[in-house]
Amino acid sequence: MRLAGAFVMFLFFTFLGVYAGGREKKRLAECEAFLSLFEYIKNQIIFFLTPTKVIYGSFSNDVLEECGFLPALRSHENDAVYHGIWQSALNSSAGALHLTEKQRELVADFGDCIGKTNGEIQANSFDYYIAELKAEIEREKSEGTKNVKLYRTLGLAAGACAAILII
Amino acid sequence: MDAIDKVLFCLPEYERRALSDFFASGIERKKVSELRLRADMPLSVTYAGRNVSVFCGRELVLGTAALGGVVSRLCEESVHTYGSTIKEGYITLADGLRAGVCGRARSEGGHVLAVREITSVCVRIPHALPRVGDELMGVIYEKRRVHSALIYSPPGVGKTTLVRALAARLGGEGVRRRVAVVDSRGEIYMREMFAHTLCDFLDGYPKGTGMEIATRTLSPELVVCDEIGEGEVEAVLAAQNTGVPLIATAHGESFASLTARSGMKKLCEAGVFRFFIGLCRADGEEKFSFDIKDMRRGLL
Repeated sequence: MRLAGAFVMFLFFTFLGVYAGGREKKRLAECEAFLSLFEYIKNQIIFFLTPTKVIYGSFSNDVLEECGFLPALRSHENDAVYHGIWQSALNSSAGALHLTEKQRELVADFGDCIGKTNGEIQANSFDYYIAELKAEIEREKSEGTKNVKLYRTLGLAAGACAAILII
Repeated sequence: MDAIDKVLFCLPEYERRALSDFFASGIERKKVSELRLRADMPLSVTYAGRNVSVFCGRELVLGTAALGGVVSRLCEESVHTYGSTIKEGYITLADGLRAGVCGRARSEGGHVLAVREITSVCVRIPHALPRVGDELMGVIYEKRRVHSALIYSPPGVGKTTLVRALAARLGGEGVRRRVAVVDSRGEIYMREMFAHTLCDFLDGYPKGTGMEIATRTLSPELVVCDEIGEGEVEAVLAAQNTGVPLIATAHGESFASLTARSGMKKLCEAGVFRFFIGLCRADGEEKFSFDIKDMRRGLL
C-alpha cells in the first residue's frame, strides 16, 4: 500500500514538473504566434490599408485558433458597430493563454494602436511592439529551455523525495 | 439599428446616454439631419432645420481626445483606410452615412499632407425617402425616356436624398433601367433602397473617372452622379457624347448663380442637360419645391 502511495506521489510530482515545462513551451509558441499576427497586421495596414474588421479573416494560426483569440476577433466582422474588439477577444481567451503579465500587456497595447491613427503613426507603434515581442521571445527561448529542464528535474526530485518519505 | 444609433454607439458613455435621452424625448428621428461634434465646444443636433444644443445638466462638450476616439470608432478602428478621404475632409461610412471632418492639417504646396488632429465632426444622417422624387419623375421621365437633368441647391437642402430616390425608382420600379451611380463619397447607396434595383455603384471612384468607366464598360441606360463641379465638366461632356442621359447635382442657389460658373455655363451651352431643377425645402419639411427650367421650352 505504501509502495503504491509512493508510486502515485512520484508520478504526480513528475507530471507536475512536465506540465510546468509544457506551459513554458506553450508560452513561447503563443509569443511566436502573436509575433506573426503583429507582422501580418502591420503589412495589411501599412501596405494595403485594409479595414481592421476584415484583416483577421485571412490570417490563420493554429495556436491562436486553439486558444480562441482569432475566432473571437473574426466573430465581430459583421457587427454594425465595431470597436474594442481586440480587448474583448483577449479577455475572452485569457483563460486559454499562457502569457506572462508583461506579455499580455504588450499584446493588449498593440491592439490599442490598431486603426486609431494614420498609417505612419501606427507603423511606428507596431515596430516598437514587434521589437518588444521579439525581445520577449528571445528571453523565453533562452530562459524557457532552462526552465523546462528545471521544472522536470524539480518534478522528478520532488516526486522521488515524496516517494522516499512515504516509504 | 438606424444611422443615429450607429453614431450614438461611437460616442463616449456619458454623451451617448445624454443624447439617447434627448432622442427619446419626443424627437422625430426623421427630422434629424446632422450631428455636430466639436472639440471643447458644445455638441449640437440639426433638428427640423434648426441647430439645437443638447443639455444634460450642462451643455454637452467633448474633449479633443474623446473626439479622436469618436472618429476612430466611426472609422471602425480603421483610420488608416480613411486617410485619403480625411485629407479631403470627410469619412464615408456604411449605408450612406457621411461625416465631414476638419482639424489641424499639415499642408504643402496647396495640398493637405495630413490631418494631425480632428477638431470638428459633422455627421450627416441619411434618410431613405423613396417617394420624395415622385413629383420630379413626371418631369424627367417622359414617354418611357429619361431626360438629363441637373439638380441644384445650396448644401443641406436634400440633393443627395432626391437623387438617391430617383436612382432607386428608375432602377427598381416599372421598366427597370440599368442605372450607373457614380457615388464618389459613398453617400448615395443605402441597402434598404437599392437591394432590388438594377443600379451599379461606382463607390469611391473620382467622378470623372467613374462616369467614363460607367459609360464605357457598364452600358448604362442612365448615369447618376452627385455634386459635379468644375473639375468634372469635361467628363460630363464626354459622357454626353455617348448618348446616355445623366442626372447630376451641383451646388448653386439659383440658375443665374449656377451658370455664372464657367464650367456650368459650358454644360448649359452644350445642351447636356435638358432640365435645370432648383431645389427648395422649408426647414424640417420632407416635401421639396422645384424651380424647373426646361432648356427646350424655358421655365416650367
